[in-house]
Amino acid sequence: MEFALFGNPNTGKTSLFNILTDSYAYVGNWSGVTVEKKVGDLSNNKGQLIDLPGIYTINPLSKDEAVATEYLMNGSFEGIINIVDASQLLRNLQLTIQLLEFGAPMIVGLNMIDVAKSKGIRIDQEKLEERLGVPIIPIIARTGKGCDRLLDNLSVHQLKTSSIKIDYGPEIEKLIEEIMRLLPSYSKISRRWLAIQLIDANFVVRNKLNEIMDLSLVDYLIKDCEKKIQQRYGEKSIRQFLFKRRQQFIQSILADCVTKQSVNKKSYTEIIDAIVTNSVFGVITFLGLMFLIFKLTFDWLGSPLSDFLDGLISGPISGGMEIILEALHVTPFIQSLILEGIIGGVGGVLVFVPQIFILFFFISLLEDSGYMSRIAVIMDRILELVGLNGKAFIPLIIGFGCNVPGIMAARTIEHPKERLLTILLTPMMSCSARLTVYSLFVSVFFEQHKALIVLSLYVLGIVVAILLAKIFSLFIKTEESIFVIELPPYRVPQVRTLLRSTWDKGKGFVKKAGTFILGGTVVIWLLSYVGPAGTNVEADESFLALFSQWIAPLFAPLGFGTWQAAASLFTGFLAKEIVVSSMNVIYFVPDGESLQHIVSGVFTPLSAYSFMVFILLYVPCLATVATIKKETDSKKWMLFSIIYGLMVAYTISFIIYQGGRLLGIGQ
Amino acid sequence: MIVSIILGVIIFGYAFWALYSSIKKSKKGVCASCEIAESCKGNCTTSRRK
Repeated sequence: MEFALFGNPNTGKTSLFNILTDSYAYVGNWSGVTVEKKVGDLSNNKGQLIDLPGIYTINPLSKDEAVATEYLMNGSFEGIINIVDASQLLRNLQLTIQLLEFGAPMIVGLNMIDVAKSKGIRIDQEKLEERLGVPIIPIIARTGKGCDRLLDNLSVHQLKTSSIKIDYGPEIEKLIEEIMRLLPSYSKISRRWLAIQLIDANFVVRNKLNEIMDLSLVDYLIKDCEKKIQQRYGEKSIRQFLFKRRQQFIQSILADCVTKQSVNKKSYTEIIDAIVTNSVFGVITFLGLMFLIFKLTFDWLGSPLSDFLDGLISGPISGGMEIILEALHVTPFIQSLILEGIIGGVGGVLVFVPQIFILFFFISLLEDSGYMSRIAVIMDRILELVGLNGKAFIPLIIGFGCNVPGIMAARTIEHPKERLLTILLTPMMSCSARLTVYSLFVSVFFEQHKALIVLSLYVLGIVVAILLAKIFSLFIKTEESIFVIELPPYRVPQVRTLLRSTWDKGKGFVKKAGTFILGGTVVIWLLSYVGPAGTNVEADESFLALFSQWIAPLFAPLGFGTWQAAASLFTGFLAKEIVVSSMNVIYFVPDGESLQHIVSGVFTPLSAYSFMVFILLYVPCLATVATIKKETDSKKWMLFSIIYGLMVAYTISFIIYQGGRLLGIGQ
Repeated sequence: MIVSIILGVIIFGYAFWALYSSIKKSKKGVCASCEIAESCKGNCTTSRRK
């Protein structure tokens, strides 16, 4: 049996999904986190649950919303769970009403009753159940309260089909009758619902019906009726009229079932918002918070842990392994492969695990507290100047973790051109993979200002993205759109959610170390071990050096024209973390000298900064490039993202390095 | 020598397999990044562009 989860954005659908299916999908205290349907087995083994992107109405605006509507039309579910935000009933019930009109068996999960209570909202559950005609279960999805009861009620016998019928007025009712007569019988879907959706100009429903019938007569009838509505009621459109009728119906229900005591004192959410969404203080707060997070990640907490891990890997682990291999009389070739390639290369990346987990912990903290939505509000004002809006900033923020889900999150953007622009800009956001490179270089060259340097790179990524948006918008004309975002109340994040969210974000890095990074590193090691003269050649005589020497001079004006830098940049296309593991292999010296020490002799602070900027901006990694191709459905845009990334990276690194040299900084 | 051969085969075998499957997965892009990709039966097919 399949059950579908419908609800407004940011009402806790994914939280409920995780509880009911014992799985862990990414949850964020902001809208638009789910952009694809997700399927999980119910924990009581009674069927499957489908998590769908949040929608305000059945009539979709953006690509992710269409996923939900298409599923409603074509999915093979037996029942619907409609999750409703108890503190926002007036808006949430718009969707509920349309789902009830659809006529499938349904249950309502009345979520966030704790928030509603704190706002002085009292809901008469029995009366509401009576008015809507389906069972209602109060829950708090974040803590799991009431979710067991909801799960127990998930059986076809307990779910009810509502007989609710809104009176849309004589004109519309007549129109519905006429359209219903024209419609063919359509499997499980009520004809009345189809007729209402056609009047509401739902393009998913329209496209579906267009495949099996000619809609010209239906269109004529709707237009004719719209004229009458405009004349008689002075409404702008028939859609507006439908919306108002539903709204009146919902208001009558609320008048019956909900009482609100006025809470006079300003909530702490309002007080905090007055500061953090202010155009000046908001930006300062944001930068300050990011600085603090980087300080914790690189200085206060991360570095000591990374140093400890580094000592462990290069000391006892590497030494112990050497003794074991010697005892087993393993050939020097295999010894070198294990010690230099695997322990040196992969271990060199693993030492950054603590820093990555710490950063993810604090990012999860910001997300779950509700602060991230506020950043989108601040950015809206800046992005508006360059032809985008705050909604585009959400994919960009997600891109800080990994660019791939960031690009996917661009599906929430309605206008195709705005969406394309966001997709092209997301790779400029500094993902966590690039953090390994920053970690290595800041610890060598910028010991005193680690956090500040990393912050400058993150800010540079955002600034470059904004400038590019301005340039691109001259060629890709975007339409004016309005940004509406719900600001969820601030809440103290739960430890369990935080830890899971952190682990979820960071585990990919650990897993990658054992697969992608290990594979890439072994290949790099082999290429650096073998050369035209045979095996165990000097690194400069290896195949890797021979290949990389060709392109290395190109990077000389940027301050890193060595074959080693060129080779590691090449590998970075597979995954950015491989840059560091490659460097560990390429620069490996058997006397135990650390990579940090060698790097300090090859780079200067200026060329190191130029290298980090290049890593930040040059070609997106393979997974990102593949996602760009899939999401834009175009090879052209995929190639464009690679070429423009390279050009931008080269130009900015050139300006930084040559400018720095002229000014005599960091040499 | 036998130990070296066995280790060599295991390491290179695993490394090439890991690299090959990771590149294949990366090329898929969209689903590969999903947190519940392994247990999800949706296969990310619902909203592909026509």
